[in-house]
Amino acid sequence: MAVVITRLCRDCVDGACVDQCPVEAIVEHRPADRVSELPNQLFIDPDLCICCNACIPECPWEAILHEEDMPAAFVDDIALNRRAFEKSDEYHVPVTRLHRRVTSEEVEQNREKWLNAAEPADDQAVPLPVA
Amino acid sequence: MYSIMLYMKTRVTFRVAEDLAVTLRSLPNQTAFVEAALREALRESCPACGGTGRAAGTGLRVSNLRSQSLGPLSRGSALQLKTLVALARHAAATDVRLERARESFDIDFMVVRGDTVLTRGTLSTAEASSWPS
Repeated sequence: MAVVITRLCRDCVDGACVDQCPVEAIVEHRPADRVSELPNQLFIDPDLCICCNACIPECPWEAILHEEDMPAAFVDDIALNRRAFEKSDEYHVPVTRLHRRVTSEEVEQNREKWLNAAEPADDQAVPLPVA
Repeated sequence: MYSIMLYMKTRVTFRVAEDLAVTLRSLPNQTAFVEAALREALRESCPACGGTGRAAGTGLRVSNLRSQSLGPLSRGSALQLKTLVALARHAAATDVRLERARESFDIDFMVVRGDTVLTRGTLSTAEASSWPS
């Protein structure tokens, strides 16, 4: 069972998980020929992930979960991460991500937002302010 | 038949030393000779790609910690492993094999290219003891 980045990651500007991953398994969707149609978040390539769990405590949003611990509201995110393996040439390790620590209140708000939204529209995503 | 095959190939031009040029022109089948020599040289002389043009290190396999019954890595251990993986990629290794060290919580590693062991050692997991298993 793999480790998965859920939608709690969306619009995050913290790259601590990327820095921590020893095998460059945390990637963003950056196809060469078009703008990504996927949500603005990171994914874990299940083929590269070695289940070291080093990324889990690094994520300020607590967005990284084991497949077996996945809440029903986030189950679709498993397939989204698996896509990184199936179309690996479209996924790359993020080159630059801004770093900002988030507050526990922001984490809780983000969790509530996604748990309560079955399939929210893009304009409901709340981008983090850059420090 | 031969001439048709020849024109299906792509022309390339390169400069060589004069003595080599004389020798080359004296050969009865220059194209086949140069093609064979290039293929041989690419296959034999490039340790990273084996003549494929794609470095073996890009397909590096690292042991899955869960299947090796290894616990979560601490931040320090993960950074050690990250450095090791970068080194393995640089050395065009094919595998980084990990397993629990005997009589400790440390992780033994072995960096391998094909059948050749490039290096081996132990990753310290001292911080990992406080993690839940």
